Amino acid sequence: MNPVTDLSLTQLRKDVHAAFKHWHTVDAKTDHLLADLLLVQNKRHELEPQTPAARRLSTNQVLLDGLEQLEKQKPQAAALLKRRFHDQQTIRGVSQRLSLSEDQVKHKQREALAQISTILYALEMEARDAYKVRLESQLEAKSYTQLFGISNLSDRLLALLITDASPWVITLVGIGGIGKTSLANYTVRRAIHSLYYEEVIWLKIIHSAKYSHPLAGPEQTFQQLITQLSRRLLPALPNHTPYTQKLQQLQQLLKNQRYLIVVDNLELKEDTAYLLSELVTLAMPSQFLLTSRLPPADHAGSMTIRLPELSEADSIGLMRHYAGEIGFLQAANAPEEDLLPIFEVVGGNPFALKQLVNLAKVRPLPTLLASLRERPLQTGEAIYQHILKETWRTLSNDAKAVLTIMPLAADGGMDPEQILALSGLTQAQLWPAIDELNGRSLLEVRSSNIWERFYGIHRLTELFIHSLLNNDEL
Amino acid sequence: MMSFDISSHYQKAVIENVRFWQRRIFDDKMAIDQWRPQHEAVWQAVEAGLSYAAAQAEAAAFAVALLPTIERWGVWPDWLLLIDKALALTLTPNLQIRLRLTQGQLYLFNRNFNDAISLLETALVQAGQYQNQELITLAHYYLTNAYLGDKAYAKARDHAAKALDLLTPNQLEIQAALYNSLGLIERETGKFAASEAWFQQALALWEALDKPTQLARSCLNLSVVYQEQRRWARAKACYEQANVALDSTDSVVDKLKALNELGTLQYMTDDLPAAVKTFRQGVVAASQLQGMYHLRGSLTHNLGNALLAMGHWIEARGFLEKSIKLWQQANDALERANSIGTLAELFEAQEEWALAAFTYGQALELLGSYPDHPWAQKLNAQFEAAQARCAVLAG
Repeated sequence: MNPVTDLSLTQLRKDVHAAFKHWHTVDAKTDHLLADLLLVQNKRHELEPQTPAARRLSTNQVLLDGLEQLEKQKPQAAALLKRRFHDQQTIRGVSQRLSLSEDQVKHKQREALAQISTILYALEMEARDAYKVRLESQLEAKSYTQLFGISNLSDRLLALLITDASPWVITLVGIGGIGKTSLANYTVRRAIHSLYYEEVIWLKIIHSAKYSHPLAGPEQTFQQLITQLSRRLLPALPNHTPYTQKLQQLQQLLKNQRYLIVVDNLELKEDTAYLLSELVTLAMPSQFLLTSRLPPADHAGSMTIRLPELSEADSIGLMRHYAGEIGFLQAANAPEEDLLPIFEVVGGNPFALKQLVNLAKVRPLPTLLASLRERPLQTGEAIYQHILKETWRTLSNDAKAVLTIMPLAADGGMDPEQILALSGLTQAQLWPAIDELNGRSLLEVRSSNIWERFYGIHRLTELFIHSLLNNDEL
Repeated sequence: MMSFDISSHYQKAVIENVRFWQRRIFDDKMAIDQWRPQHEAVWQAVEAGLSYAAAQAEAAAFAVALLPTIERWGVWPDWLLLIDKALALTLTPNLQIRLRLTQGQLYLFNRNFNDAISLLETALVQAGQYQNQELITLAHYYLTNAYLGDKAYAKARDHAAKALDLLTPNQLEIQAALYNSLGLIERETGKFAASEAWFQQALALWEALDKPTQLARSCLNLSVVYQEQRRWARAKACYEQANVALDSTDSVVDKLKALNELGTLQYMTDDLPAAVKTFRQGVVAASQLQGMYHLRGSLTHNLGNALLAMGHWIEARGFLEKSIKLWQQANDALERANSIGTLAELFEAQEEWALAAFTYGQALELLGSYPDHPWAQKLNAQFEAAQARCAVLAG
């Protein structure tokens, strides 16, 4: 890509005239192809392979679309441009045919070019808006209403993303619930508005033991990535295409155009050097943004950004904001010294802070904090599991009935009718249970349009449910 | 508060999930397509069901019953792995054979004829061992289409004949489908009179069964037979009948196939501007479809060919180059040879003799794999003569 983000109508007029003049030219030059327009780039995608003829055809098709619109508004203007450039009639020839002077023809031609440029300008702006909406729709729904403590980190990440230079693979590292996915989501949305990328793909790696091909190492991880990527970027590729051929075609695609591939929830194990070296080979100019709980090994062309815990001030800000969202006004308006003990016990981890604020709405906070202090826990995730166990104990049976079946949801979530059927609840029981779980931030809304509601759960919550199903001690 | 038995609750949910999606998909067959956006959830339900012993048989049977829906939605690549998983389970022989037949069909949709034939032949043998007439018939029927796709016409005819022999009076849909397949076999081998007869029989049955989509398909197939014989009025009547039948359906793909036939008819009757407009419409609409390489290849080639006839070389070249790539993805070397040969015709029209000769050579190389195919023989003669002509002019 990139389209020129500041599109000038004056320059576009000149470029459109040049493009018309070269209607029948097929060569290696690119200055008369309107290549900066998203409209032309979209047509090129439909016409692979990218031969000079295909590139010329893409430009001509955009001009034809413009002519079609011009024909509806000013048929004579459209006809003039067709005669002059498509049919290659000279000014003299056209003037004779239309019984006009040559000067008059030139004047009308200038007018027609101005009119079609205006049309193409409007079409280009529509295409850019559609591009932003389309790319954003491929991201996970936002799980946040406001983010705390990440603006500097987001600025840093954005600067690294929209630069045609190393690092080509960036890994966001931090314990579960620290905000890696939220940071990636927020920053990628900003990157989309810069029109820098051809396409943004968001992939989630499936780790659950219920799946038939659990990850066994970096090679398998990479193969799973390639399979998912080829399904998204090369949908026309037959399923029986050998893996090496898929890899080759993907490499060609990622090397020729600028893609941003976000791989969420990657559990990087030993020998991450293999994975990173494979991804770096695929990159340039495309980039990979990974999120992982474990840091990868250093590798040329890659960079790791560790997400720190929130500062005390940001933690308190988050807790107040979240308490306000769940209607816990007492906590939302609490003085700092009342909220500080929560931060002191669980640290600046957004997921844990929210869960504790939630729990504190229904149980006395001092008891909760005391139980956490009594059992010092080594890792952040052990803290979550403990908090979730405590949370589970406070849930109604109806809420448990809903939460238990949520691991059966597809990535896009589960609709209420399906939840009703699988949970075994009645209609009267269902919505109070969903409201209870929503209020405790245990359900995530994953809908793609304003009226639909699909529900899912956080990965940590899913792990917790599986631990219960595997008969871990409660 | 009563204690909550999470394991029991979850297991019930796994079984209920399979039943839930069965109800959604099959209770209102007119509204199946509304669930297409949630096809991953359907897949998930089957996958989870296959992982629990109590739900395995039900989940596997559901997957088999879903075959027409999977085809309709075009999501078969995702289901290949899942059916593989089901085949590895310990299930009844009847279900195993049905799964194998389903897998064979999925490979067929993918135009992977080798794997399809292998699976279907295995299923046929197994069905024979259990003397299951219904499954033997189904295997022969699927093998007819698999061998047809692989252009092994004698074997295709043989399986069609065996399937017809075994059909029971209540299997009229399969009977009509077999007539349609036989029509295609005879058409591809140049036996137009026989082909016409089979299609007419298929049409009569589809009409009696009130199957508009299948009726339209057979109409379009027959339209091509008439076009081959230059019987334009009949071809046009068939096209119009197909269009009327498709009006009441949601079948985007079939409507595009009808558009393709209309464009071909316009081209063959020298209405080139209309043909270009029709094909262009088809190419744009088909570009929104995932997969469907064969249909997209056909529309794209036809557009390129029509533009070539109008002397619009740049546009023609772009579309012909694109169609060559689509044929490769569709795994159809014969059609690819035709598109390469048409590209060579374009170079010849532009007086690029050496390039034309070379490109004809590429087409001829592909045609070498089909020495007995009537169309391949015709193209071979045409391209050989053209190559020789261009070679002389190139000096």
